[in-house]
Amino acid sequence: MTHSAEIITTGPSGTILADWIDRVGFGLIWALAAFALLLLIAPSLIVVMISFTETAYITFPPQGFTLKWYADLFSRQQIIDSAITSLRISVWSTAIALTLAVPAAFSLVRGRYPGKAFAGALIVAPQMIPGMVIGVALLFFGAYIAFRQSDLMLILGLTVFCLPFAVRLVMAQLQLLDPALEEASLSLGATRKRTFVQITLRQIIPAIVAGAAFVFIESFDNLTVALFTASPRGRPLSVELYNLVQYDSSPMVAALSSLEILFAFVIMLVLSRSVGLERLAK
Amino acid sequence: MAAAFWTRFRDGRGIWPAVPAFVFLTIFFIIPMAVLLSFGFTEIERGRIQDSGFTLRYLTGTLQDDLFWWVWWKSFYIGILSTLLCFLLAYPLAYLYSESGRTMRLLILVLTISPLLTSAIVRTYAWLVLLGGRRGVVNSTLIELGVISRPIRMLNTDFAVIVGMTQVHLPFMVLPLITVLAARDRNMEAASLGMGASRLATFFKIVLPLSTPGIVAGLTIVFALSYTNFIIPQLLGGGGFTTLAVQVYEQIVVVLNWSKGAMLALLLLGSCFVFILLIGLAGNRVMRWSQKEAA
Amino acid sequence: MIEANGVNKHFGSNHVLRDCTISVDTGEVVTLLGASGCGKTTLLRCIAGFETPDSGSLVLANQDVTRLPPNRRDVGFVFQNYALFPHMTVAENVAYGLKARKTAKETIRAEVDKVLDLVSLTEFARRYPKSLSGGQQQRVALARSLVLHPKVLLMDEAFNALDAKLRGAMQIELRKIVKHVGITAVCVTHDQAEALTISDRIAVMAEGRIQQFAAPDQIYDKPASAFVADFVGAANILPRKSAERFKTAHKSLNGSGALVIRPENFALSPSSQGGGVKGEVVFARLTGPAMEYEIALADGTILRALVDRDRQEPLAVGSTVEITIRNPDACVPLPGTA
Ligand SMILES: Nc1ncnc2c1ncn2[C@@H]1O[C@H](COP(=O)(O)OP(=O)(O)O)[C@@H](O)[C@H]1O
Ligand SMILES: [Mg+2]
Repeated sequence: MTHSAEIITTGPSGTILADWIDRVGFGLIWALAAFALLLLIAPSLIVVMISFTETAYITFPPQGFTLKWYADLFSRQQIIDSAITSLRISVWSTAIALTLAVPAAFSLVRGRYPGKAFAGALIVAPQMIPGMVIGVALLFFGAYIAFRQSDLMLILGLTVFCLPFAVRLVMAQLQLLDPALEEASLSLGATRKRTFVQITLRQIIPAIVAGAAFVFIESFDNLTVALFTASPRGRPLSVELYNLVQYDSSPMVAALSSLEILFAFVIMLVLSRSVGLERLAK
Repeated sequence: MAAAFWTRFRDGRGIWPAVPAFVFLTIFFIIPMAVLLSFGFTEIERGRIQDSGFTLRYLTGTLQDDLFWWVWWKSFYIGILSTLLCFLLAYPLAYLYSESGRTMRLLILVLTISPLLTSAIVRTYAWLVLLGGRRGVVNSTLIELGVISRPIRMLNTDFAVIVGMTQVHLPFMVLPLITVLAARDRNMEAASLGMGASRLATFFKIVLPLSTPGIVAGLTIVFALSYTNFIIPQLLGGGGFTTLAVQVYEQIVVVLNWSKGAMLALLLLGSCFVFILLIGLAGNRVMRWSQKEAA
Repeated sequence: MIEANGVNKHFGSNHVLRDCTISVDTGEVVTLLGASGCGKTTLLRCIAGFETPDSGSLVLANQDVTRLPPNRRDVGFVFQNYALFPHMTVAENVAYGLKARKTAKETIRAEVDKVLDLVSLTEFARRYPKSLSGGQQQRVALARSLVLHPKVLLMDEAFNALDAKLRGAMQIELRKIVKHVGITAVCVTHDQAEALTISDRIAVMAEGRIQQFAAPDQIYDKPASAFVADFVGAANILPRKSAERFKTAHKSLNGSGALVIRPENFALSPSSQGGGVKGEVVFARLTGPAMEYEIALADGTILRALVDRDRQEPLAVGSTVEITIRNPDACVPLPGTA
């Protein structure tokens, strides 16, 4: 009784003040959210816009409209070469990482053996280590056994760096998989092989696709591992771009960046079709 | 025997399917990490072992170097500041996500995930354009608006590095927060409002504390990324700007003093783990209510 | 058709099945009934081949299948959540087993059509499981097994996912279909009403042991133990001392330790005409056609009584009544204590 009396006495004026504070407080929260959203998109948009400028230097707002920087880009053999190198390297590291990751994920989810938790921790350990340290460690290891910086060293470094992502994605999907589906298939008379291909594998394909896309993109974009392990001749695109960004102020760099943004967008569309973005967010 | 082995492998049960990944990681991750560790305590110059004996010279030398501590402080304060800024922006955005309908949610997800698929250099490059010199977008806009008359130096400052890191790492903070906030039980907020608490009080006393797991995850990831990032400081901080991570890069790639580089890398990694541990412990303290009472 | 002989199963140190022996005739519908965790699912999974017993044997249609993998047992299994393949349409789900058997395409189509007609799902053939209601999903799961004409059909809590009203209707529907097909079936449930509805015989289980295996009326009228009496239907289990106070109970008690009296076997009279046991109504509840009462006796024992409403006007809480047993022959004596 006394409680409700107290609330009533602080009633009208208190409520109005509280309402006002609420409104200001949430106004601030929404404003920050809007700013964060702007911050996420604006820089990329500006880069894309600048890539069409007619001026020989970077300026905003861009002046005029031209595609000459894209033409310039494709006329530079060095950039084309490094893009091809990057594609080749990414394909390899994606293939190796998934070949290792899918069976490992099965074992870590389905297996029953002592030390499984430790095994799981070991396989996802590289995720705790910055790319730079992985690259440096591989470089030093190479020095020991006369193994020089090369495409192969870069592929190995990227595979180590990306393996945890792939394993975790496939593991998450396997954990969601209802074991009753496989039992149902067996009880309907399907062989183990048929069950594995038509039920188990079929259900984890989205995770494998997502894993492949992530490893590929990360391998293509990665700089932290690449700076230490890539061959000085035939550099990957990320290292090439790193140098261009530092020493070249022409809008051609913006054109190259825009292409990468476009590429990322396309991959994301593919992923949202195959896996769904909500699932990806985890 | 072989048949039994193959059956186990195919079933995906047992340890065998994980063995290739183990062997791979042992050779190309564990052993290299051990080599890195050993290099911090050996004399290595220009990729050659000068003296294979064990030495603490690089450890003591680094720890006694005032410059090291100065650089460490810079790394730390840049890392912490950009992590906190990230949180300040990411939390409202994740909250907006959890309160939004389908379309808005999709928009937020697209805008959050697409930067993750773009290379960090491209995203950092955008800041070179935005903050760069006289023609930089921010300066030219401010001059046009009459806010300032002469361009302010923005590039090659701590400010540029912090802003760049905040923006580049924002998605890593948003995603774990979205996960906890979108899955939360809204009845508790209703109960809080029903008991007479204001919306703002409910937000700070119910929503915020209950999202601690996501906050800890986000802070951990973003701090680790910021603290060990050497690309953004190099691009936006200019020539004289240095952090621990930048030092590692320079010692190994430019100066070619591998022992020093290895020691700095180890110290970077070790201190990063310590901070992450501290964040986790702080999280546990906040989350006392979720732990079972020791009876 | 199905014979389980002395089946034992451990999960680690947990002894889940203890000497389970059960024999199911051809065309019979048998239900394993018991509380959650008593081992029903495990026994069913042993029959299906998803688990291997530690000891004991399983015989299906005169063939020892104890060591046979599930895909060679010719057993249909309907899972608790149906386990329909989400990436296949209803028709594809139903055709799955036939395809695995490399049946000819035309035969598959004909068989699928026939079985979908049997479960009244013809117009849903091209839909995906997710877009179906719970009851429809259950019928797809049933059709998927039936289309293979298995020797036996096993169903694990097949009605759990349905809401109460639909559950009753589907139980009747299922019994009709199963009887129409004439298949031997073993069902698992923790719901005694479901067991009574669908079974020819019921095996009541507790703590990994089969307590009683008999026809539903036998289980209800002649429970073999206090557990069975209590689990199937409501029961008043009176220890010898309390039971002796009912004069008519003496004969049926016949020297045993306790007496089971079903709630509907009590008659309550508001007046004190003598002869009955005195008690006070402490709780009254309408169950539809009958009133259910809790009655406290002088010694503190609480009895449950169920009285048809057309037999007696409702009694008020607090009123004093006299309790008599309507049919002493329907009381079941139990050996030992209760
Ligand atoms: N795969 C398993 N591993 C370990 N214990 C299990 C497993 N399956 C069931 N159990 C245990 O066996 C007991 C009986 O389980 P179950 O047969 O599922 O009971 P019911 O179906 O009667 O509810 C339970 O105590 C359960 O915890
Ligand atoms: Mg069960």
